[in-house]
Amino acid sequence: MSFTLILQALKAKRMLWIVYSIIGLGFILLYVAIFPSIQGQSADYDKIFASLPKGLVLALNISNVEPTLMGYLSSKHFGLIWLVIIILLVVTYSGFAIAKEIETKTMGFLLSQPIKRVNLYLSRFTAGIIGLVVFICISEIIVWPLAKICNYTIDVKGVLLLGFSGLLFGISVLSLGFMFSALSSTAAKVSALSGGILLVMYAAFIASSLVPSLDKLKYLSLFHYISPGAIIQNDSVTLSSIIVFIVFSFTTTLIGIFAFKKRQVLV
Amino acid sequence: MDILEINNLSKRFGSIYALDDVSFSIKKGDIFGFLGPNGAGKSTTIRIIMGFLKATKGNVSVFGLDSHVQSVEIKKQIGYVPADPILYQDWSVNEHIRFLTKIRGKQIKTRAEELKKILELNGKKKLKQLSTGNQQKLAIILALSIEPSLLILDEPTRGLDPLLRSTFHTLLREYRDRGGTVLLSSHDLSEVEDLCNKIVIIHNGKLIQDTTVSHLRAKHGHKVKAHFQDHAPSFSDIKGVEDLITTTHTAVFNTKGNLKPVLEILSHSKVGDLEISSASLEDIFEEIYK
Repeated sequence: MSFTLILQALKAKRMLWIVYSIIGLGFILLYVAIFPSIQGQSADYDKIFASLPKGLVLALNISNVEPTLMGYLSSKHFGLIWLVIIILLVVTYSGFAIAKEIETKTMGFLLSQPIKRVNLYLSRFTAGIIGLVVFICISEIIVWPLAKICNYTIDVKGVLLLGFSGLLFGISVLSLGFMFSALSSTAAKVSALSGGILLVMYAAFIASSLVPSLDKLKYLSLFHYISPGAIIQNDSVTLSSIIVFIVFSFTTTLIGIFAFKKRQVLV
Repeated sequence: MDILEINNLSKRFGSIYALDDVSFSIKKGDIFGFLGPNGAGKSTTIRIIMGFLKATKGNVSVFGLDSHVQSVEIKKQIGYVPADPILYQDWSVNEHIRFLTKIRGKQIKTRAEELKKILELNGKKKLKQLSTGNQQKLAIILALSIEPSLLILDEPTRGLDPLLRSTFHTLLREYRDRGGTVLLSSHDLSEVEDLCNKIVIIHNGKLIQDTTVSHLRAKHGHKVKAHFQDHAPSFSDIKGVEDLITTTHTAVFNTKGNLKPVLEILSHSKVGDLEISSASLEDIFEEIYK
């Protein structure tokens, strides 16, 4: 890995990370601001959620509603919107990292330098992880100081575990995006392929919850392994989730590196 | 010593052969012209040398190393200017140089600054603010500043004005005099004629000439234009005379081989004006592709 390449990637796409982080922060500030009024009506909300169809509750990941700030955020924000933001951010970055450079032919400049393709791939990937850590700090970990400022009770361990789990989920999506970026010649293809796979995973996750005979399908979906409500409620992340995210990331990264090393680049 | 050796190189895209059994070599100190019309396979060859593409058959060795397997080692000693240099539009000229300094080492900075002055390029401007010609200048600066052992140039002067072209030619000659080797792919025949000591001509993926400029000129003879005060004599019986056009007082023709019989006829005629020139690469090119 090269520090120069990592820095170059972070610098080149800094606006992407900044904009998404601001969006993530904006959501948190909004929810924290309206939390006091929601807190007073939690009983009414519980009734509403109880009356919703099971499928909708699962689709929106709004189980485990608690009258605490993190319980509320995990059910309203971290369960779906936050994950969608992570997916959009990471897939966009993945497309830019390799495929877009091939599309615009700037990859020719990099490949004409004495830089190993593996080095280039891993440096860009590492820059993605660094960007993701920054995003998670600004869009999730920040709840901790915000709660302190507003005098809300906060479970720090829960906040950190959810951040860790979100990071693993994000790295998995990043690995998937990078794999497609190494195989594609346009950023649009990366978005379409990664988005398509994640959509299929999400559909499998919902279907497995609604149709008992399809129960095992959930194991094929990354969404099964991240449940903010459960993380906050149990104050833990399951080992199986960690292993699945790591194995998934490792496998897709290896495939991506192999594909990028072998691919012919018309620049 | 061969700096670059290409052996039986073939490249197929689907069922189409972009390169078919191409072989040639470049020696240290050569400025080697690589000629051919659009789509002949010049850029494909260069992309294989640079390790961007993999050959279907054959191999390329640079400095004795396999261009595909030891690509990174090779690129430490190669400066490359692509046909359409695409650099980062949001970076300034200086940012490109800084990036290259970090990748290649601090020693290139002084040379890059010198080249910036010679080519009169403003370092602070972002690429998107520069004309195509100025972006081309930056690509040349980046390639030359690393003082490579081999310089690969794919139509490097496209977009440069005549003055800059001349400056660039001077830079190339100086580089050659310092022991550098150049592979110059170009459409500009006068440029190749002016700079190169050896050339290969490629057409439809096949190598059709591998020779020196002087040998090629000798082989393709001379162009004669003569104006006579009396009636123009007949040159049609002379062996090797081609494309003969005669009017009452003029004769224009190409002749291959010995000029002696032509000069003999001319010496017995009242010549008003005479021009005998070696065939230019342009003429040769036309003849080859006829």
